[in-house]
Amino acid sequence: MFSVFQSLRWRMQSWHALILLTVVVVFGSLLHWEMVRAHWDRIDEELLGAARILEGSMLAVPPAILEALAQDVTVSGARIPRPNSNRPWRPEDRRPEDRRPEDRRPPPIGSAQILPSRMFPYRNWKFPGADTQNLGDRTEEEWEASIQLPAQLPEQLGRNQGAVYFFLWRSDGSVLRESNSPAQPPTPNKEILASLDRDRMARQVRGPFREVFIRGPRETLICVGRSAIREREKIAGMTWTIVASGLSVLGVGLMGGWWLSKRAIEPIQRMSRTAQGINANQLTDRVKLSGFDTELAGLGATLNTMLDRISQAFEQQRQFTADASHELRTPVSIILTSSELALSKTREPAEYREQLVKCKRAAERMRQLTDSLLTLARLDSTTNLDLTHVDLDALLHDAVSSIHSIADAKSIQIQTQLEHASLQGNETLLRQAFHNLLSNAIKYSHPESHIFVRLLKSKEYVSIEVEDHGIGIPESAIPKLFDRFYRVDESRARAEGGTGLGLSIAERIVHCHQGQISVDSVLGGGSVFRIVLPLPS
Amino acid sequence: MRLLLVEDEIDLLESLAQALREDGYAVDTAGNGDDGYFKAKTWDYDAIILDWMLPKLNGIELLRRLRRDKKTPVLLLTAKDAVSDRVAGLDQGADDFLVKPFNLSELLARVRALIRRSTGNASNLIVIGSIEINLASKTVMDSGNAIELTAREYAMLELLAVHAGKLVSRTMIYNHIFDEQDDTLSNLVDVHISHLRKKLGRDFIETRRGQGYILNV
Repeated sequence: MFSVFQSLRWRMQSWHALILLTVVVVFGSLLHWEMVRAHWDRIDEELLGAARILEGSMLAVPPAILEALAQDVTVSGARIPRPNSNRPWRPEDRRPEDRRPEDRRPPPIGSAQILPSRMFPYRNWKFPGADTQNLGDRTEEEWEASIQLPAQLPEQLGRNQGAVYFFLWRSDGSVLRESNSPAQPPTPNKEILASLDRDRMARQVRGPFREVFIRGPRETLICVGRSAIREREKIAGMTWTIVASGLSVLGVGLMGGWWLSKRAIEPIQRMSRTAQGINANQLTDRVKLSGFDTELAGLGATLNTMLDRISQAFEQQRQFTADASHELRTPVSIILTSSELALSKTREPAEYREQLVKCKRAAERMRQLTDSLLTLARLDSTTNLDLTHVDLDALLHDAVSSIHSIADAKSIQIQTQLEHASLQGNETLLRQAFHNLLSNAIKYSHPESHIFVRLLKSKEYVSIEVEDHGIGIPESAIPKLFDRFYRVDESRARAEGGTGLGLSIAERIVHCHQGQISVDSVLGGGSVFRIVLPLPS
Repeated sequence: MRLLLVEDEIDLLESLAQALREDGYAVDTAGNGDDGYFKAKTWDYDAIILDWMLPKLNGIELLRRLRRDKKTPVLLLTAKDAVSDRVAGLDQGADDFLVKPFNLSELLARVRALIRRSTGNASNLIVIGSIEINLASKTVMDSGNAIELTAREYAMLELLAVHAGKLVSRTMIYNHIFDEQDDTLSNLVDVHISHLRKKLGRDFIETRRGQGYILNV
């Protein structure tokens, strides 16, 4: 059953959507948070600046300095003392070359454009002597009465950002001064006071208002506030902009992802269609590699290589089956023909005998062939051999003795030179491999010649050589020598009674023991078959 | 009728040759492609039974070379049974195709059919006057009465009968009735002809002096 979650494209799309959504949400939230913070910070900075200016005027700081503070030090070339200087600033603090005549006569309060600058660190600013305001010979009332607030401050702030108000409270909580207040005047509550104990300023949002509190001289409390409705509207507008652009980025991203995944999947589907068309009977088709990206072309090439190998294997298998059936058909033909001939009429016993001998020969051949096929099939399907400790020299000696009768029939002498070597192997299989090489050597040796069998041992390998002085193998035949049913000379091999599988079996057995088999041959001069087996380290 | 049998399996070759001889054919044998090609080119056989897989010269190649100058009918024997193999064999000039392992009776029937077709006869029954010759059962009837013939006599009658109305030379008789194994003593054509005349009537076979014999329709 088709499920969207099993579709690669849908899964890719879902992951893409999830990642994109996360990125958009995180990015949008950060942007929004940063924007809101920046807005409030700017308001707070303004309000704090205004509060500092109020504080400054309560400390009777000359308006020019307040102005310089607000204008961020450079308006009249004046240099503001470092914030941590612990004495009040005096005009004499100016460098001599900067001194001016008006320094001796401060301008009237309120005449300056006292707008708080955003550049100046009001938050950490501290008027020198603000904490130890000394009344001198003045009474509290006289000090209070002497406070001259910059008249234009509210208007300037107000002109900038709407209605600004301020409150000054005495230490006992009674109002010292207040401007045009909004409907409900603020009340400094416990949190604000606690916050002021920890920090130089406190702030609060009260309905549509934003308010900043600082401590003034002589335990007074200064509050400056204003309406933040316009900022809030602005923030709301910007929030909607962020949400809208986030959504459109998401939409475009998803559509792009859908299109990209289609583009990415399409060649795979094309490849899959081609692969579907390829089956056991139609192994010649290949995935076309043109027009694919590098990665997919690589996949296609891998697929093609695999198909090459499969079709080669199929071809080998087909050839093997055809060869095997061919090899079996011939003896069956002999049995059928001979028996039908024998049964076609009444005959002399000698004639029956003659046909029976042929039938037996054919049956022997079939047995030999089926045995070999079975051995090969077992070797092909076995991954684990039954390994035992095998003395190779003893095994070779046995193999040579058991084949002596055949060698004697051709007056062939087998000479052995065996070093002692042993390894973990399958004795039955190794014996068969040796037997196959030996019987081959006898088959293709000239009568009355010699066969040499050697077992040589090195540190890591043991090598078994069977050398004959027979007819040899043509060079062109050597690469195919270990192929199943390959015979150098069809008729000769048949006459000698071979199945065409002896060397294939020997090769498989040697490979199962992680060894190598090879042959050197001189046509007309004889051959040397060499098995090299690794010794346990 | 004389056949050439080309087969490299010596046991099969012997049994087949014996079976064919017992069926009344003269049979020459060859154990490899070269010998087979030489014999097929040298003699006019009535049919050739040819194995595909042969040492030295394979059956298909032999057939291809033979077809340059001989029209001898060829029955191809093979262990290959794929359709493509059959097609290739027939396209190279084989007249029939028999897959190993086969039944002897089927092989004999196919050889009969091959020869019958090549001589232009549609049926296995040849009727000349009151004489009926059945090529399948190899029996001869004269007005419903069975006539006993030796294998050699029958072979000769069959050769004359399939060429009825045409002159059959002594050489042709030698070439088609006797194979390479026959000794010269059995090659006495005149003796077999006189035996046939005794059994079938004096006028049945006409002698053309110095040319050969003819069966008059």
